Amino acid sequence: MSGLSINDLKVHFGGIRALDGVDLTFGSSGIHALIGPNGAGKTTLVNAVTGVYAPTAGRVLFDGHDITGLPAHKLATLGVTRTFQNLQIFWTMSVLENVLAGFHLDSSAGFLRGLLRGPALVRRERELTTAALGLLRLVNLEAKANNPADALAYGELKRLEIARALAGRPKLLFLDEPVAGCTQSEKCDLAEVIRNAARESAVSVVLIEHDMRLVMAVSDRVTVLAQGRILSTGTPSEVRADPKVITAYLGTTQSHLAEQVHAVAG
Amino acid sequence: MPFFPAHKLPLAVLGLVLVALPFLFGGKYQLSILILIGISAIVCVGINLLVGVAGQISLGHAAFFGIGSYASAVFTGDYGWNGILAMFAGILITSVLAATVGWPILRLKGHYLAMATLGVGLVIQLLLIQEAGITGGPDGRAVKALTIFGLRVKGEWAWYCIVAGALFVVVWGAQNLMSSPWGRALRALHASEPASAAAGIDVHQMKVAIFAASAGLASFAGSLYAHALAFVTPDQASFLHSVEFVVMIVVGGLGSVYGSLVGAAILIVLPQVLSSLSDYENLAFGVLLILVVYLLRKGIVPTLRLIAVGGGR
Repeated sequence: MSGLSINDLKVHFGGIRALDGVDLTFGSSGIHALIGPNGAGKTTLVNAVTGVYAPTAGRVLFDGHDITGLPAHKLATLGVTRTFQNLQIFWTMSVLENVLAGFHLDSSAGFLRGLLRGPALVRRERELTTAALGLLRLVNLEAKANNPADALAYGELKRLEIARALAGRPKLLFLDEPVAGCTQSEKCDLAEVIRNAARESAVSVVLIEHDMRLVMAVSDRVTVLAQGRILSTGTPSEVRADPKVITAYLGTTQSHLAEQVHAVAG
Repeated sequence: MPFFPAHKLPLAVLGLVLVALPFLFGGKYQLSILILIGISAIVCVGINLLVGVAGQISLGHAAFFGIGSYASAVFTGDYGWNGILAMFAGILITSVLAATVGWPILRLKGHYLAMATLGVGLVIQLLLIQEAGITGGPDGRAVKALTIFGLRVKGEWAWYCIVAGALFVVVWGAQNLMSSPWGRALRALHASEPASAAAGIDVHQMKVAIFAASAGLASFAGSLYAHALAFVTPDQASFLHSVEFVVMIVVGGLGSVYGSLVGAAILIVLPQVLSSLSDYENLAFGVLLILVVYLLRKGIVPTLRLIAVGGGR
């Protein structure tokens, strides 16, 4: 079966059950949003699937391979990659070089080949530069290709991360809060970038996001996490109408769950 | 199409400088200083790839330099091997050893990695001192002259040519590596390990590889040193010597290949120039180093480059 399937995934930190038995599948195309109150376990789920944390229990299958607990660089070779909630930019490089680094697996990255710098390597670098500029066009950064990365604005850096992630030709891309901290106009730019990326790069996008407007606008499916468990899953309108979701977000005085969510969210 | 590609210009300048230097400073003593600078510069280029580019500190590289020195001394002296063969055996032994100890210790970061490399260096130096039957102990041992294709390398001029040629090739290779995808991956993992891993870079394997490669280069330089001076002592493998290499690249410029050469030159020439101050030599040396590090924070070569392109950001 293609796509990612998560079976009974548990991540415990001492007594805290950050993920407490999650079953979830992501298809091989489209945009699937993962939402939930603060502390629901969204980023933990991404970290557990992308090799940052070792899961306490459970299995993760991708395109039929068992990828449970695989380190991030091995996942990248299988086509699973991610962006980061707090920016992880190669600050010492230019914008273009950031994207070129994303092409690592496709480049002539051998030590000896680099040492000798033969014509094949030079040719490959030229091809990759063209491809990198194409990705920068996709995220509206082509004009800034030769700027140092640390000269970009925040929203631009968020887009750069997406371009770099796309360079690895992923089949599955986790975007961890891509619009957090962005202005409204930056959010609109990013929504378009994410939609274009999902369409043109044939990548399945998992979007972790707090911004409901973005989630409802771009997602094909939405899954709601609360307290390390799945609360609801469906199309955006189904999830919006689900009383359990409304309780988890808005709370009612009777709801035990809502109290806990509020406690976690502070 | 430019007549000469701009990125090859620094290498061409280096070639010219290397050719011109012995004609400007042709005395026996001056040549021996130039040889010493060249040998240190070779080590520094490797350490700079490890420390400056990949961001992994090492306070033990003099030990790898020492292994190269002793490999040449022992294999040529006790086993009658050809000098070149002994040199390559030294590089192989050192690289394998560095990869083996590097595998566990390169999981450490920052100060902990510094301590671990320091420990590795101390243990190696101790072995060189203790195994007196092979190494000659604390007093060191003499080294046979190097023969290449039946010709004995003798005299400062011959040694200058060999060291300058080796340095040129090392700089050429390091420049290539820096502009290759492999070098880009090194810079990437220095900037962000999580993002590098997400891009498919095997961060740990890359760290071990550059650690082993820089150790092999130090071993190569150690072999040249042993033959050029015809004598080795355990001091070459000392902690102080390791620190000296790191100071050279910090002064010259972290991450800059040419900075490695400038740093090596300054750290070797300065004490010679200051020796006329006799009692105040060390004081003046220290003050000058502090001034350089304080005024040219990024190191000499990167700071000058920034000034040259007019970007004092």
